[in-house]
Amino acid sequence: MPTGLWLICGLCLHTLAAPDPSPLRIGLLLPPEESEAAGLRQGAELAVSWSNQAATSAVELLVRGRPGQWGDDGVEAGRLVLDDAVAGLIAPPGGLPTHLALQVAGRTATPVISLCGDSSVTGAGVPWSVRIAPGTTDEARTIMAGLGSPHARWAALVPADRAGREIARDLHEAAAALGCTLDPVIVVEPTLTDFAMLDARLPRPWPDGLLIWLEAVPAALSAKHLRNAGFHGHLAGPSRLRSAPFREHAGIALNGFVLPRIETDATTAALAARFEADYRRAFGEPPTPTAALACDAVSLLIHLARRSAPGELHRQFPIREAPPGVTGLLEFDRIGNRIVSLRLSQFRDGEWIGFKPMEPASGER
Amino acid sequence: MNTHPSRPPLPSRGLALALILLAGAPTQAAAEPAPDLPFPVIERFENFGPDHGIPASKVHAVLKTTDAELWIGTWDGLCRREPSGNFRRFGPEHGLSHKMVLCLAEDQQTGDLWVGTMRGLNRVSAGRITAYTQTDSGLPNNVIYGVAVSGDRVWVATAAGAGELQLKTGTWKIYDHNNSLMHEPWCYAVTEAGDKIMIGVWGGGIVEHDPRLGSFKEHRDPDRDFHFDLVPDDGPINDITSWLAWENGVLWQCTYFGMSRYDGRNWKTWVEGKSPLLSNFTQFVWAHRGVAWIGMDRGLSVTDGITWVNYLVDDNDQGIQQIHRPNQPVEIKPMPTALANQFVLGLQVDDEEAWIATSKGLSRGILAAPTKLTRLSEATPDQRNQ
Repeated sequence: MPTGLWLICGLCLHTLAAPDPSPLRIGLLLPPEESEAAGLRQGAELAVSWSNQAATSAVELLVRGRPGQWGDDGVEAGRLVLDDAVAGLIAPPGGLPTHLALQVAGRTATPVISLCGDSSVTGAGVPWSVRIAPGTTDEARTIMAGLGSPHARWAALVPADRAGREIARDLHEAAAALGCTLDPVIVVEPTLTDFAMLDARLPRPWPDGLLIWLEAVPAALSAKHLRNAGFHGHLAGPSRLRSAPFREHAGIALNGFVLPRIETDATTAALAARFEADYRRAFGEPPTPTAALACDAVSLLIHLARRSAPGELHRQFPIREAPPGVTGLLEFDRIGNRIVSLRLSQFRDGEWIGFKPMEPASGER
Repeated sequence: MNTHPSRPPLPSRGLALALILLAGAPTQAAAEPAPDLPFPVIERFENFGPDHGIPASKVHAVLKTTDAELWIGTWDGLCRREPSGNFRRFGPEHGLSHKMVLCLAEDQQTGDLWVGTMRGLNRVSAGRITAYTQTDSGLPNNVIYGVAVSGDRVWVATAAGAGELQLKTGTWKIYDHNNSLMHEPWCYAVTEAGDKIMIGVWGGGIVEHDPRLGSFKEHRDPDRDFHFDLVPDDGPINDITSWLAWENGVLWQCTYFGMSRYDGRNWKTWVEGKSPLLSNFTQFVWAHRGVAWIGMDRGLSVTDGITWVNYLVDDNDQGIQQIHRPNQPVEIKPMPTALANQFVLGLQVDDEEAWIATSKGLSRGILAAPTKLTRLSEATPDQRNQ
């Protein structure tokens, strides 16, 4: 028998005889208060399902997160790493759980892929972590550059506490880079019900635009109130507001609302379309941007783990390739920031469409 | 607080010491002297893993107590080295609050061992393990990244603040972003610093606490820049503090962006590429006789701030020693044995040996004797700040 044939037979025999390896485990840190929990989980599940259809070695998704005392996300991240023996962690959009996951990762060399847009995520310097979501600074710059004049006046609504502080810092950085004014940055407490407070705190004349960097429901209610109060400037927010809760609650403010989105990549368009179709089929609703990012986060970890020796996944970082994902090519800079092109989209006539500049918006009443 | 009712099979400390003495004194350094170096170098490593009773490859912490007992904290329990040389494991079944041990500290007055885990703090005293958790004590958070003993107080660095346990009264105080200068509540390291306490804060630099005055002072990276040290030696290299060590008035700070030293007046910083530091991802530092032993993801660096010796593991698992003398070419030597793994998680060094916790086992560094004892602690301030 020719040597080549022996080799092929040997390889086949090896494949057949090899014991089924233990499943690759991916951990998803999902605090119960996470507003996008459903999309996050479903996007991750779909990525696992795809992988298990295509490969012989199984992948398992383990989800942890429970109500508890402050800081319990660190315990949950530790349980995923220790008790569940996950190869890598997916951290949610919240900066707090992401940092608690990163702290565990620092001591255990467990890779983390975060969906949090805060610049402090990659600022933590954990070498085996990346931020797969577009950065807050990048999104804000895209909005301010696309909507405003060079010296436009912007205001912002941010959540309370640490999350708001980090968002405000990133928004200020974006404004400074463009020479825009960002003032005031108004903190919206989670208990806020009297949205007239927002109206009173915005300066007159009205700013040219308002960046609403809140969770979907308070963002929608804030936007609706301000439109009803006569605010005619631009209303804009992060890409993850493209969700059903925002759409349901925004009312009059939905029309004309502007969001950034990751620019479609021709090489990954088929994958994105497949994700959209499979997601709708599996869960009966369209995927959110967070669901798509969760799918890519899990797929990326699986991709890296398949080429890594057990326990050595962290050595695949920094990621020097750009595998295709449903949100485009998964390309990162040296410190783990996602490199993406962002475009603006606007809600018009019942759907999100590409933003086309119209008459300059007037912030005046 | 939860005291485990059954006494785990820990021999008394006196008996353990006697057994160690009977078994022979620790191996003396038998290496050739390292010429011209101001501190001892490691001539070879002895490695310990599952064959020696260590239950998990990941070893997070190592501590040799004042009576020469060696304890290690692993992914799967606390272990003590027996006179036979093998390790004996203690886990949750012995009363430990959780199997993953992250940090260790000794109360030198009482001989008690304090054990920080991923879920709770533990005191090993006279063979009994007492557990403290967030729900049954004043512990700020169950994830204990650092523990230190200062007089009659035990300090913990947790994922949600620093905790101070007053041993005489059993009362706790919690310090976080609400009642101290902490920029973030995430405490990653704590160390006694003379009559002060230094708390390493993830994202908040170093918080210096004076317990007598109840005051706090913050040491932050003046650049406030995550990735670049815009002005060297102007303060802590970065605000992501991953470990702290203090000795004789000198504080060493590990960060994921390099290393800092503070002598109470001046700061000195080192980064990968601009100094012999092996990696910016510094994880642990142990100070001994003015010399910092720095654990990283790429090996071990030892320096008095002037001369550096690095220990690496190459792709063929060959141990490599690099000696960086000021104004001289780097001397690179293969070593007869290598570190168990290049990801160093914990360290303890004394005049006799170096114990190194790694992500793939425990290493003992056999020291070669120095010939010239120019210690940093004996150097002039000008020499220190070179």
